[in-house]
Amino acid sequence: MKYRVALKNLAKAVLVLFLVTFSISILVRWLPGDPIEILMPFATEEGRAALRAELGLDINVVQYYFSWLFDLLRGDFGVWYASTGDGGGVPVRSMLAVALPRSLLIMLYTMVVSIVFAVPLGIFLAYRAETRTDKTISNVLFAVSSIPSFAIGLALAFVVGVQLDLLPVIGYVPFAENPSEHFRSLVMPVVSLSIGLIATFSRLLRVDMIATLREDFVTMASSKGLSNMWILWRHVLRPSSSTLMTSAALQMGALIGGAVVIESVFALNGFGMLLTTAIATRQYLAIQSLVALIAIAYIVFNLIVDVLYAVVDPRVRGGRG
Amino acid sequence: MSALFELENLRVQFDTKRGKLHAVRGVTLHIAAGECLGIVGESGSGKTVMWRAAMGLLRGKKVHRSGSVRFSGRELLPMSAKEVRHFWGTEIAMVFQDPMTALNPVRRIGSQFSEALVKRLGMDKAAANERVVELLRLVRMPEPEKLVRKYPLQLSGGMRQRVMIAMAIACNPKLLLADEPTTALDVTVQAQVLELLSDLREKLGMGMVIVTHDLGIVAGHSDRIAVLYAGEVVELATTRSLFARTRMPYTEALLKSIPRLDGKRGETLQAIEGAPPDPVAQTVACFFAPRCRYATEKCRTEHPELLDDGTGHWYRCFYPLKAPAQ
Amino acid sequence: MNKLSRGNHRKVAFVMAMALVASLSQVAPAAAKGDDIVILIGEKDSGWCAQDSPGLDQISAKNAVAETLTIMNEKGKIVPYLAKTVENSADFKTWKFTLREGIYFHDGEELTAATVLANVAANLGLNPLIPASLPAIAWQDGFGGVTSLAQFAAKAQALGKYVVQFNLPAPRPLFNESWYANGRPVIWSTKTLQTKACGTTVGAGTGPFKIRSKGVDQFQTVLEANPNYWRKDAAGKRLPKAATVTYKVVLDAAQRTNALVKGQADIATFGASSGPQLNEMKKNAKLVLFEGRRDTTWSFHMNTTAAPFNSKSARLAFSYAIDREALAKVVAKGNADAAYCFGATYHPYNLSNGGKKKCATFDLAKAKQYVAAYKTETGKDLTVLLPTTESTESAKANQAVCNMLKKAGAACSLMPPVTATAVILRGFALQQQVSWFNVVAGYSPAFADLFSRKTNLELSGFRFTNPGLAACFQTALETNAAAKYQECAAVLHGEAYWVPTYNEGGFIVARNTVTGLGETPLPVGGKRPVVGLSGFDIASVKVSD
Repeated sequence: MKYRVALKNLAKAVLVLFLVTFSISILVRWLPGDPIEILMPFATEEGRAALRAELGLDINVVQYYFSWLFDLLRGDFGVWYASTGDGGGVPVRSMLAVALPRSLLIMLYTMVVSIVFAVPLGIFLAYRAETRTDKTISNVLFAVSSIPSFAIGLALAFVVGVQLDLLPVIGYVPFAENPSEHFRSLVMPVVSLSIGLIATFSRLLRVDMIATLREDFVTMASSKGLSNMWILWRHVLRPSSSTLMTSAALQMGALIGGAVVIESVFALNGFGMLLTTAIATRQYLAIQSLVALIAIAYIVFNLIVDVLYAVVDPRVRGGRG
Repeated sequence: MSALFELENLRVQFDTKRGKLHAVRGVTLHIAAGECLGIVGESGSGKTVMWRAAMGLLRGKKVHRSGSVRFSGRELLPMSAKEVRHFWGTEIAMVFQDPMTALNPVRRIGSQFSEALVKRLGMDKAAANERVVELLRLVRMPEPEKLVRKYPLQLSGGMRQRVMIAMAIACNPKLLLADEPTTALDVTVQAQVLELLSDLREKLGMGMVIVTHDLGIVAGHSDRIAVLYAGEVVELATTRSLFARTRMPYTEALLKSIPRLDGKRGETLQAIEGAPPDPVAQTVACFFAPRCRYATEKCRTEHPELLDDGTGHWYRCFYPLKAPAQ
Repeated sequence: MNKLSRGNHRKVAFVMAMALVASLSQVAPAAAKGDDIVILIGEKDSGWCAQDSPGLDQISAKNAVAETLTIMNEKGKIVPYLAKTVENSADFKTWKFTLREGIYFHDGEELTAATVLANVAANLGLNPLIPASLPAIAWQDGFGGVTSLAQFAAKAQALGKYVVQFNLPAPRPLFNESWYANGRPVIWSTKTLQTKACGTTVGAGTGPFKIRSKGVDQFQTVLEANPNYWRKDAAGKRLPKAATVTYKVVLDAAQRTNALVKGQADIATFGASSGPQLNEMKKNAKLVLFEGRRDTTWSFHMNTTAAPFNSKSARLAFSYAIDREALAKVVAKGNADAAYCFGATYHPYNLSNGGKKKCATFDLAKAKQYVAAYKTETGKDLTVLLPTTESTESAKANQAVCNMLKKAGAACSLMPPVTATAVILRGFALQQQVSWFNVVAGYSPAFADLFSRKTNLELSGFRFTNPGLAACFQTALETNAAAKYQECAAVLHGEAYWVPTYNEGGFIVARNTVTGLGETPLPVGGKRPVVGLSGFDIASVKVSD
């Protein structure tokens, strides 16, 4: 029975991947300008035709898509087109080797920081629900969540980086090269990305917790004479965390490709910048491969959250265990 | 017998957008140690608000409580949430209406059970776990060792209610407050749970309050019964007297709405027509007057006081029903 | 106990996940400070091949690796560079380049006439033996246009090991400049051309630095010293002075400033549009600013093939509506001059008569008049769509332009950001009607001509829609006569095909620990300008500790 469910989910995931990548492969062709024109804006038609043939762009979209797909299944992410054809191009895989770990780490740190701060804050707000403290902080959070992350980033860079001279303002240092510099280089980007998320997450948690606080089992718990803190952390938090987890999973996916502004501001040059560049220069193969990775990331993160749901809330498990 | 738990002229009002809502309008009740009092009323009669407010579970800016609530002679109303919490669990324990919702669905029975023992009685974990098993056995749960690893959703309603009762008595309270303890259960299980409660009361010598909308439930298990209507006590008597010599038309109506196993075939149950008065609107009349078939002009212009008929049977009516000859 | 071990599992899992991801990251060797120069630029790497079109920031990096046959000196004159001498016939049809002997590429090849011919063939897309044969004529338009390429290439020949002679089909008085073209037509080694990478990831040039890593991370290029570099410093000592140079792409100008102030970088480049940052940095005693000559004109190019700018009234309305002084202030905060004529005042085609005359002026009344005229002609209101690029500066500048147009009674809205490349390509005809570009009109009428003739864009790319004007420029190019250029420029301005806005010079800002900027002597005497049109000379640059 369980295997069948797993198989069904797997089939669904494969279908989603196929649809996402196939439609993106069609969509990018609708964008004005093709890679050849971008690579050689001033070339002759003959020159363009030669490069088009060299890059295999003269075959039809569907054929092109499937040849990419079979390459992908063999672990080949394609090449980054260059004006010299495939041979001068860089494999997308090697670009990913630079960009992806950065983005994954930034995403991971951002999530950890956001959750670590958002959970106590959300709990505090729910506990103080509808008081002046709650209203003030909630309004501040609402305002904060609408500040674009790059604005926070630039402000941080100026104050913390330049004025206080505490942290580097640009660049990324790999963990393996220098762990302490690695963390120092990511403090400001992660904080910039986290502040909005903390605001969003704590507001989500606050609402769910307020709902849970009305539940009988909370009254029951307090009737046992347990302290408020105990009740909030041990009784209320877990059943109130499903929205937070769903939102976190989506944000995890979004952060991988979507932290592009922060990547740009702090010159981190991760996955988001790679994807943006790929789209701007019509790197069809790279776009398809990167989008496929993002889709996989979404699927995986959602799967993780499904598993987490079951850990956190036995009601989701369905079967008797 | 000295009173264990006393309510003196307890009033509870809420601020609402429409104005002040009078949920409880001056209730006076005494419960002796070891005694079982049934509190009966329709939904909206203020019975749940009354005991929750008395316990201090209901509090906040918009809740106004006045009067006096004493437990073992100590005044509870002015206490802070923290102070009153000290009484909960160890002195006064509560059993809630719906066992489906009153247990935390995401925590194992064992952990939500033992936490009170650890936190309140300072037991160590191992001792607490042993005590949990013991208590579960006391409420006649089969295989308690396995049960502690389970989640509430893996238990039936009756089992859950027993677990809840076991939790309530875990810290040896002097008073057990059971709010509709059987409403969510089917009839056969109801009887078992009530039997269990009675049993435990005797064994542990607790005072008990059973709050219910169903006179039938408390009939066989309480010493005295208070009938609540619109936030007031309208009849208060020993169980025997209440059933035998019903004085309030409202109580009579309640009785008629109970299905009886010995009822004649074809006899229809009578629902009480109309609805309880709006708790926000102020009126000088008898609150039951609009629904009372005996009501007169006097009932609609004056408010009756709670009177003792001389036998310790109290009622709030200008025209009480005639007591049948004993 | 149970709880504790569960917590530990989580920790272990977390650490393992981190280690896993961290191990994926590439390890780059850390360079010793002092010998390592970090340069921040504002442009991504999109290839250094001749057919690629890098901007000035990338060209300055590209020119650290590969060099050109001729170069511009600090006086704006084109002088021989990899070539020892450049001679031409009186009719400007025969050009003889004699190469400097003993120059070697990073891969060991010696620079010879054969190498140059291989580069010509590769860039023209004419040598079937070289797979990189793709046309890259844009920067060498002096060759005489696409159609004549084949004949031209056939007439390029080696006259000896170090001599190349070109026999051109038409007179090209500026052919020596075509081999500089702002540092674009560099000479790669033959092997580089054959590997097809030609600077995408690897490439061997003759420059002071060779490529250590490039292309995989488009935001970082690391170069290391070429021990066999051919130029020497003024004292005759070996160059380059630095061991490594790292070009880091930091798109945000404010962050380039921050990093520079903090000392995370030694040198950074800026455009005049980073006015606020530049003014801030001028006050910082730790930083030194260098500004190039203000001869890069930012201007509006219009699509004259479609409404509304196929109407002369619309074009004139646009031209009159722009308050150039105000725009220069908004955009550059004093770091650029308002531009009124095509090119800088010293150019042969400049019509300003030494700056006294304004070819295009700001005149709100006239702008309104032409907006009204457009309405009368077409029955439609004049509406303009302006594309912005990714930078905030661009949005700010375009908003200012929009406000000016609105004052004149035209409707104006901003298009969401697109890349400059996208603007060049399809955007013009499909969506927006005007866009602005910098026309580097600093020294070469020929190069400016390329842009001015191709101001009007059609779907297929650059093409001029006014045959009269095209012919005019063609003649001007062949005769290199100031009068002829001016004749064409008059048409350009009269028709308002092209709307200048402001002139800027470009900035390099260095920390005061940086020495040697622009100090390397050129082999024929003189130096390169500190801020030139192909970046700056870094052969002598060193950072003191």
